[in-house]
Amino acid sequence: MTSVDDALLAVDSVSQNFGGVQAVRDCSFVVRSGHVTGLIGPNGAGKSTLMEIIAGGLRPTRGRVVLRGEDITGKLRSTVGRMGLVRTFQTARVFPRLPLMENLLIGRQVQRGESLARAWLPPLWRAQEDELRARAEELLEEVGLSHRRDALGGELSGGQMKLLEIARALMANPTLLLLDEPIAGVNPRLVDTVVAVIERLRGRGIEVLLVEHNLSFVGRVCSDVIVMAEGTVLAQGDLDTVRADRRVIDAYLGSA
Amino acid sequence: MLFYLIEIVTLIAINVIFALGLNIQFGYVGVLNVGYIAFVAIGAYITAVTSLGNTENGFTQLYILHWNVPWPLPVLFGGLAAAAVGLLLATVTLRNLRADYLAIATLSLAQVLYTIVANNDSLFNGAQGLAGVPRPFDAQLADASQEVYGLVFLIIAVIFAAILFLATRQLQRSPLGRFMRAVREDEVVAESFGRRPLVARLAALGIGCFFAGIGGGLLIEYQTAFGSQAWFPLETFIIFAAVIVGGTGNNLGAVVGAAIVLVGINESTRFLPASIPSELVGPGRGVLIGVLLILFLRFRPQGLLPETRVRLYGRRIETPDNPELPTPPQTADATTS
Repeated sequence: MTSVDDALLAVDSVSQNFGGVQAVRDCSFVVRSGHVTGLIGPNGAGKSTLMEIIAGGLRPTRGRVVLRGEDITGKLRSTVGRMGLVRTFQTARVFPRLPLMENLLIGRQVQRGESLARAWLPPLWRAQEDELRARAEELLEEVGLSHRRDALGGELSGGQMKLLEIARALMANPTLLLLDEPIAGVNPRLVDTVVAVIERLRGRGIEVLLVEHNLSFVGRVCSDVIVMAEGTVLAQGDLDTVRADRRVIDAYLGSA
Repeated sequence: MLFYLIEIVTLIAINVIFALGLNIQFGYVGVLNVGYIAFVAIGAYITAVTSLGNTENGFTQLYILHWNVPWPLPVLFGGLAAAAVGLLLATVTLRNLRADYLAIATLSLAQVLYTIVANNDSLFNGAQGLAGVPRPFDAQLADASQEVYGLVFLIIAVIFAAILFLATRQLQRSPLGRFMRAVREDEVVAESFGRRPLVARLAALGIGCFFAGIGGGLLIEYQTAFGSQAWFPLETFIIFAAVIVGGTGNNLGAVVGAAIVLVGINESTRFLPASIPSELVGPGRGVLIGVLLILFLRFRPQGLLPETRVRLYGRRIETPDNPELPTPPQTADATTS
């Protein structure tokens, strides 16, 4: 096992209480470089809470989160984002009244033209803007949305919004991409697009941690799987290994 | 008649500046500054006390500073002072400037400033306000007729409005404008992409208050007088009505809204038949603006000119009339192979 400090991402003894409810209980795991890691588990297992904690939306009651040796526990979302950890949302969150192009352009975090002094002087940021637009066009093509490039975010179908979110996250050139149920509501034909996009990331040095219910999808893209139930980690390994784990079977089929 | 027309266009130009500034705050970022009129007043008073000098101009009045700096510095000081107060308020209210908190804070600020200014004669001559404010190029145009001077001021006001309009449009087309829109649409997503929503809100608040101050400065120079009756805190909502009727988020909409609501409705009541008692006219305007606002919010919330989809080099596309943006049928999912 990789140690907490040299792992890409380590969740170390994290617990989260909401009033009397313990959503995450002493949860520890390590996301290893070179793998697409899947986080699976029945409803209520604490996956979404954990995603919030990792992405900086929530400070855990106990424990810590370490991204490439740096403690990011309870850091602001914006700080975590700037450290290269970028996410999508369980229910797609696009900018509804902005065109797809603008939705994507927001994805790039450091933009010269966002400074109050430079915004009024296009020559200072036009080169970067052109480069970002070209990149955004490529990504629209890659997720199969270029035919809708003039639409507004809110005009897309639910599945298309999920794809737009992935493309927006890729605009950020993340080091670790968190995908929260990337194929929920995505039409089966588009699932292949998502799989293809994720597979291409391996070659670009972008690591992926995804939460997903659909096990056949997890089997297609993930080489490492973490199983959670009742707020804690039951098993980690490749899908076939964890499927054979007695506790995992109990958790999924119900021990009753 | 010509003089009247000049006067109308001058007032429209000044009010366009007010509407543009509020539109940056409310339309671009969704910062709810319901004390906006107080920033107009700050601009007006500061412009006055930095240009009145020691001359009493035939009026007996008390005020601070007694500066006499050359035009257009007083107007710029007015704008900067308004922006500074806006940013000061923002740092005090903290709380990430969420719309609801800021609305309460700005309304309180406007009320507090109003009470202080109206009751403290030594600041800006109390409730009576300041008069005899020097107009730009007064000395050079001392012999000019009313029409000629009116025309000169009209040109000044239009130049200011045009510069601020172009600056606003540039802001809207810049990455900073995009960042502002992103914060308006979904600040959690903007945060997840490394942005601090507070930065966008502060920028919009500062720029918008600067516009308010510039407009206030021009207004007091045009009227040569300004008192607390001119900025009763509720006046802010008339500027909101102008922005909403014109089209929230659309700069041309702010121009149209200012012309219709801020100037048009006030001026149209001049042409009412004399049989209508004059004490009904003032409240009547308020009722008319209120009804107009309700009708727009109900039937055309995007305003006369809806927000356009901004593209840096390309054409503009109007957003669809339906603000709810319905999700198209699932068949739209089919991708080209």
